[in-house]
Amino acid sequence: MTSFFAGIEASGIATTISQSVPLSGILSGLHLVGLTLLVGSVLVSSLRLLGIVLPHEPVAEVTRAARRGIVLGLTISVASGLLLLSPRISRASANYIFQLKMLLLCAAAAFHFAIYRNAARGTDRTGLPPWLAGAFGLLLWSGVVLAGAAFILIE
Amino acid sequence: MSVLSFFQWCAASALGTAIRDSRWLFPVIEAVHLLGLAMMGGFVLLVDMRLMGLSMPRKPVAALAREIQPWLIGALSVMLITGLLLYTSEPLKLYYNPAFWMKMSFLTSAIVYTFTVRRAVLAADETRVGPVWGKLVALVSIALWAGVGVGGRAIGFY
Repeated sequence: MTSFFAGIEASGIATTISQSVPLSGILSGLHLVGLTLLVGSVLVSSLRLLGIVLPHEPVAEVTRAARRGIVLGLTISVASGLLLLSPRISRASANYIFQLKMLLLCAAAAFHFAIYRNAARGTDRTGLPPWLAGAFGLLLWSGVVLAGAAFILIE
Repeated sequence: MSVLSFFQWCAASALGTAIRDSRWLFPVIEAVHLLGLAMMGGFVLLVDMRLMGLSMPRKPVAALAREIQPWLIGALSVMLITGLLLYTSEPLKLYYNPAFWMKMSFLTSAIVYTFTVRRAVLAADETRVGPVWGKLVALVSIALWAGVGVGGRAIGFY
């Protein structure tokens, strides 16, 4: 694993990013915008599942709108996150806050695609109440943002 | 009072000193600030996607905007209050930071745009606005708020 990480850090992309402050700044900014879109859309969708936002609109209508924001936000944040990680993957992977962020990210993504998405469509067969799926999804994605913020502050 | 002396006064304030001297206050306020920004992004995107004709086609734009307005103002208030608190902890550092001024320019433009042009278009008759203008107004709104996010993150790189 160490040599794999060293190979990534020595790659042309990683070297270019690490040597350019403006490029790192732009990628970090894009990462934040992606996370904002992702978590903001999860928030809208979850608040509808909880019956708080737009309670008179059909759940599927609101969550379908939010789903586009979730997919777009996830794509932007994962792509920019991988690029940002490439020059410092060894250091980051040894950091326990970063490990927590990755754990929460995997849990949030797995929960989203296995349960949340179906709950939002009204097709969930696990028996989990939609409001609970909304609350749990919101909690997991907020955790990803908070762990990300903590990682920036301690780095 | 010049802008610099105002920033110096903020730096010497009790509030700024308390946040600067605390180990936990800055990260906690920063976390709430980020969640406020995410909340703002979610609600702006929901309405702007409707304006672009990409979601909730049966819901009139004006009705959706009216229902979302309190949430938007709530998210903006959280962002502004926590942002002000974060600012008071390091105003002199920010004064000399170009990314901070970039963020402030985007923030001012985004707020003015949201409560003037965008608000007028959202309240107008959809048939009068037309799909092209609706899309353009929504895209400018998304771009301005994205600029706030990018500018905010760029502060850490200067």
